[in-house]
Formats: sequence, C-alpha cells, structure tokens
Amino acid sequence: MTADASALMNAGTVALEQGRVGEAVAFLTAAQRLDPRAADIARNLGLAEARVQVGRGDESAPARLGPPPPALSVAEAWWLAALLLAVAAIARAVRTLRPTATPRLGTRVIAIVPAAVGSLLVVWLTIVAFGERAHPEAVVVAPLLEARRGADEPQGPPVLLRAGERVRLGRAAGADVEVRLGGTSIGWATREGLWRVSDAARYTSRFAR
Amino acid sequence: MTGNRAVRIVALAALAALLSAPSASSAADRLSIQIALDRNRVAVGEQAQATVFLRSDGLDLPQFAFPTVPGLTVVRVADSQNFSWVNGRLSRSTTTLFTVTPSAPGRYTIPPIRIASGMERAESAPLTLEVGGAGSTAPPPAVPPGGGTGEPSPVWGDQSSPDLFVRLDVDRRRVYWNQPLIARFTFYTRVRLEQEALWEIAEAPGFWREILGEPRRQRVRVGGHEYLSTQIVVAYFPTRTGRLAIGPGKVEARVLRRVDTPDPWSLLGMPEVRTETIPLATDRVAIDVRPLPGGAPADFRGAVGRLSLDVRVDRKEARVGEPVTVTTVIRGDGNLAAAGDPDVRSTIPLRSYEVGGGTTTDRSGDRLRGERRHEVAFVPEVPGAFSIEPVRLTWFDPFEERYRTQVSDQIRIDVAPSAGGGDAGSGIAALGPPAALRNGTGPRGSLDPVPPAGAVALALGSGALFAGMALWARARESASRDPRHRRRVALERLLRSARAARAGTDRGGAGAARVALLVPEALGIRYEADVEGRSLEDAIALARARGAPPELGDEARRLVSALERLAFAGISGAAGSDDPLADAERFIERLAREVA
Repeated sequence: MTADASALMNAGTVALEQGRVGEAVAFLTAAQRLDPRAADIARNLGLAEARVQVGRGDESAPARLGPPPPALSVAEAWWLAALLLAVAAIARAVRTLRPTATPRLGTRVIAIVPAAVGSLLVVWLTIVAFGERAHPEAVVVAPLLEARRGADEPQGPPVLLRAGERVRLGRAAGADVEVRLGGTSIGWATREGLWRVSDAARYTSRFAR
Repeated sequence: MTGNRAVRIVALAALAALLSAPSASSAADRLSIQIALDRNRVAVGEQAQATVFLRSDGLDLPQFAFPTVPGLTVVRVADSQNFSWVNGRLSRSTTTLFTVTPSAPGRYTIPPIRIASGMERAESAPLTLEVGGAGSTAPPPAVPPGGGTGEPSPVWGDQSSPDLFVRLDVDRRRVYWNQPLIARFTFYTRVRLEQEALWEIAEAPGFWREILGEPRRQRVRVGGHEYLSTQIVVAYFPTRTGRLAIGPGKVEARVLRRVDTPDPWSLLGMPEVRTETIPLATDRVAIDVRPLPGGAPADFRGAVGRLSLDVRVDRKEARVGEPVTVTTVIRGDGNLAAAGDPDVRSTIPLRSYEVGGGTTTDRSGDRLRGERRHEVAFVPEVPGAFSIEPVRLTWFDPFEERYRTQVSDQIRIDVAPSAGGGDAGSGIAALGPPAALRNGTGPRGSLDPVPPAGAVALALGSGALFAGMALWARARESASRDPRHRRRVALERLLRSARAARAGTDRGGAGAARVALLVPEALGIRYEADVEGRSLEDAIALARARGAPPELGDEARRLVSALERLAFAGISGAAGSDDPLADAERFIERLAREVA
C-alpha cells in the first residue's frame, strides 16, 4: 500500500491537536518513514513524544526540539545500496575489459569499496525488513493498554502501557496479539489498542480536516 | 514402683512429650491431606463448606485440584498458609475452603484427592454428600467415639499428689462451625527428667489447628505441691459440624530414678540411677460443633469470629492513568483465612487489578488474632470523578450468636486530566505549537521497509555484472598461467608476425628475412626448447631431442632455405615452394594447432 507523507503528517498533527497522542505518534512515525528529513514532521513527532513522556511521569522530556537528523528513508537507502553496487560493477568491468600490465590502485578501490559498503547496506536493510515482517513496530493508541501474561506462561502482574508508547508485535491469537519490548515478550493485549505503523495510512481519513 | 523417692544425683533433666490425636494419617507421615464437609446432608440450593487441609513436614507443599463431580459446583473461597518450626523441622500447612453447591438431589461421592511431593504420596478419604429436595433438613451430626472430661491422668503417688500427670483443658465445649476454641495441653512434673521437651503435634479429625506461641514453662502449686508445668496452647477450628473430639494428648516422659545399690562398695558408694519411660495420656475431650444458623446474608463468605473492617485509599485525587489503590483490612479474632476478601467496586467501570494482599497472624498470645489485607488498584481513564462503592463485610459473631455486617463509607475520587493528554504541561507548552498542516502531496512510498523494485533490479544487475566480470578475469588469469596456453599464445603471436610480413610491402626482402628467423623460434616454442641465439641446426637438434619428428626438421630447413633465397637473392619457386612466406605461415599455424 502506497502512502503519502503529507497526508500522514496532517493526520498526525490533527490527532496531536485533539490530544490523541497515541494516534499522533503512529501517524507521524509513519510520515517520518517516508520523509525523514522533513522538519515539520520531526517537530510534531517530537511534541507528541514529549507529551507521552510527561504523561508517564518521565522528567527527561526535552526542553526544545532540534532539527531532524540527516537520515535516509528506507527506499532511499535501498537506492543508495543499489547505486553503490552499480558503481562497483562498472569499475570491475572496466578493469576486466581493459587490462593493464600493472593494475591501478584507483580502479581497484573504486571496485571494492562501493561493493563492500553496498553489500553491508543490503544486508542491514534485509535484516530490518525481516525484523519488521516478524515483529512489526506498533504504537499504543488506547489511553491505557493492559498486557497480560498468557495462560501457559509464568504468571505475573499485567504491564500497563500508555498511549504513544512504541512496542513490537508478535504472534496473534484471536483478538489478542503478543506485545514485545526490547526483544522480550511482555504479555498479550487486545489488537484494538495498537496500531501497526505500516498500517497508519488506513486511518488518515479519521483525522482529516 | 519407687516413683515418689527423691532423686538426688546431678540434674539430667529432660522431658519427652508427645501430644497426639487420632488422625487419618500417621504422625510419622511427612505429607498428609484431609478433606471434611461441614455437613453430610444439604438441600438443593444450599451450600456445604468443604475444608481441605494439606500438611507437609520438611517437604514442598504440592498443588492439588478439587475433584470434579458432575452435579456439584465447587468454588474455591479462601486459602491460608501456615509455617511452623517444630522439633527442628519446618512444617507447612494450607487450609483451603470451598463451597459445594449441588444442582440436583442425589447421593454424591467426592473422590479422594491425591497429592505427591518428592517420593511422598498421600490421599484423602472419599466423602459422601446427601442432597435432598428443597426444604429438606440436615440430619443430626455424627457422634465420634470418646467424650472426655479433661481430668488429669496421674502417675505415681496418690491421686491427690502424683509426681507426673498431664491434662487437657479447652475453653469451651460447644462451638459453632469455624469458631476457634483454645486447647491447653499441660504436662506437670515434680521429678527430674532426662531430656528437654520435644513436642510433636497431630491433627484432630474435623479440625484444623494453629499452635499459639512457644511451649510455656512455669512453676505452679497443685494440691500443695510445687510442679514444673509445660504447656502448649493450640487453637482448633472445626471444619465440620457434629460431635467431634480433641485428644487424647500423649506424653512420654523419661524419668531418672535412683535404685538401691546391690554392693555397697561398688562405684565408691555413689547411688545408681536408672531411666524409666513413663507414657502419659490425657482424656479425650468431646466438642459439640453446631452449624451456623440459617438466614445468612447473601454476602456471607464464612467468616466467624469477632472482626472489624477498615477501608482506605492511597489518594483521593488522581490524574488519568494513575492507579488508585483501595486497601481493605479485616482485623480481629477468628479464622481470617476463611473470611474471604470483600468485594471492592467502583461506581463506573474501570480497569482494576489485585495488586497485593495477605494474612498476618499473631500467634503469640492466647488467641489467634490477625489481619487480612487485600489491595485493589483502579485506573481511571477519563477526567472527572468516580467513587469506591461501600464495602461490605458480613461475619458470624459466635458470642452474640448472630450475623453482623459492617459497611464502609463511599469514597469519592477526583480525576484530573493526564499531563500527557489534551492539557499539555508547562514544559510541553514551552516547546511551542505544532507545525502547520501541509498543502499538496509529499513523498510517496510503502510504509513497509521493502526495497523499491527498481533498486532491486539495479542491485541484482550490478551484482551479476560484478560477479561475471570477476569470474571472467579470474578465468583469464588462470589460463595465462597454463604453459600450453602460453606456448599457443606465443605461436599465435609468431603467426600474426608471419601474416603481417606476407601482407606487407616488403614481402620480397626484409619480410622474408624476419619470417626466416621465426621458423626456428616457432620450432623451439612448440617443443619447449630454448633456441634463442642458436643456429637453425641447433634448434632442430634441440627440437628432435624433445620429440620432434625428423621430417619436421627437414621441412624447417627447406623453408628457411627458400626464405633466405627470397630475402637475399629475390628468387622464389626454388626448393619446391612458389610462396615460401605462405608455406612458413602454414608451418607456424600447424605448430600452433598441435599445441592447442
């Protein structure tokens, strides 16, 4: 499903103005995936996350919001990796088709360095893609969400999650889904209280102005 | 018997006492389980109380499940756990109360409950519950054997002043179901004993019990004589109605006695001492256990005693999302484990969690006192207010012989908006307003971190090109290291030179002279002989030494001769060749083919 960064940004801003910090974080996180260097998205996402921090009593809420980081979107990173591999392939072809008696260091470096960087980038992006597929990122949109232990798991007190907190999702069972934090399962919660970031574009019409 | 003779040797005082009562399980068992019903017959719609008493000495307490009996609805009401240190061994016990509600008349059998811990196994006796139609009454309670008086059991001396005796006293003979009674097992002695006291307590059927404090020792005067008394105080809670019994309590005392010396010269005249084991036992005391009167309020959960309820909250003002913890505390004398926790509800539906609780028992006095604490957290999700509904506790007061109910006040909780909600805090306000909405569209793409198709194609194509080029270069480099390949390449180079000489403008002169030099060189390359700087004959000889046929040498001679004629005399056609350049080219080409 193709999403539009501006539509997500606008929906997140409307949700933020309505005090729906969970939805705001979900929309703006999705918008930042498409447009990571946009200052307006970074600002509104910072505001939403600061509200989440204050809401849970975290004293480390930021005093001011800085500029967006010089990041690449996932698509841009894939293109960058592909271009690096293409440069490396061309350099290699030149070296092969026009051999010289003494190989030049420059052509060798141009062939090897982009190939190494591009390959590492592809590996990292592949890991990220598989990680997202296995445990997609989600945001709590319910004001308060209870993650309970499963019936066949060691019992413990439920974990209370607040709106705007980011988690990862695991297995699904009926109306419940496994909630993970830091690579560890913390319990099961109702799906209705969580939005997958990759699904955020489905809900933009609810926050249109 | 010479029991009332004074023993004057150095003190070796001791006491071995054993308090026991008939029990379904032996006192030596390390694991036991008992189940009892407060009545054997009920009407449809009535409830019977089942008490499961589980005990282990030095073992982990295993879990158990109440057997499923079709037609009976069993609800677990309360649990209590007790730890005691008796005779150097940790003893644990749990008492679990269940309500048993039949759905139809009939005769129901509750099968044995089996438990295991380590290598130890135990099982309870099966029980039968008769269920009559609605309005039927319970039969008279069963009468156990015995029916003691609590009188002392004397040993030695006369009846008015024995040297040793034990007695059992109870504070009341008629109790209600679950009403505690206090039993005192006392051992009196005015003779010296061999050992310090060791107590081992067994259960009485139909009761569960709590030992109150440590054994109490004091000097008392009985019948004008001074005795050392050792007393254990035990609280018994009847778990079924009817005529039950406690005791007999048994004591085994090891008494030191001096005997007459048979030889006055032996042991330098010291008196001889002998140990005598004296078993003692109290009478059995009969207890009438009455069922609780009818008309119990609906919220009655089995609490019996003198109780009070205290309800408090940790805050009366909270923000959205902040938990408000309500604590209920039941205090007093009685079986708090069976009291159950009162229901705590809010006036509006809220998420609530049981966050704590437990029972604290004071066994130090002559009464079993304590408090039962239960904590419930409510989490408001919207601003405004809500209230904790009045909490009710109903119990049976056996002294006033009536049910009593205590109701707490309703507690109002005001809920302010969350700091993270629509009302931002001052810190948030300092960050400024959010950025304005956008007009038009922005970058588009998939929110899943999947690669764009074009990037994948470019990356795959680049990878394939890179790999292909690398393989090609590797193959070429590998081939260049092959001697046959190198010889073939060298011969092809000579062949190209020969063709160039034949195609050149000086094909009659210098070209033929250059080709004449190529013939022995080609011969040397073909047969891997170093012919550089050598004459034609030397080259032929070296080639022949490496396997060249003789006719090849002859052909080389003819070719070189014809080429030299052409180069130096301009004569062609002699020596059987019209075009020696073409013949030389064919000669080199043939050698190259042989190498390939």
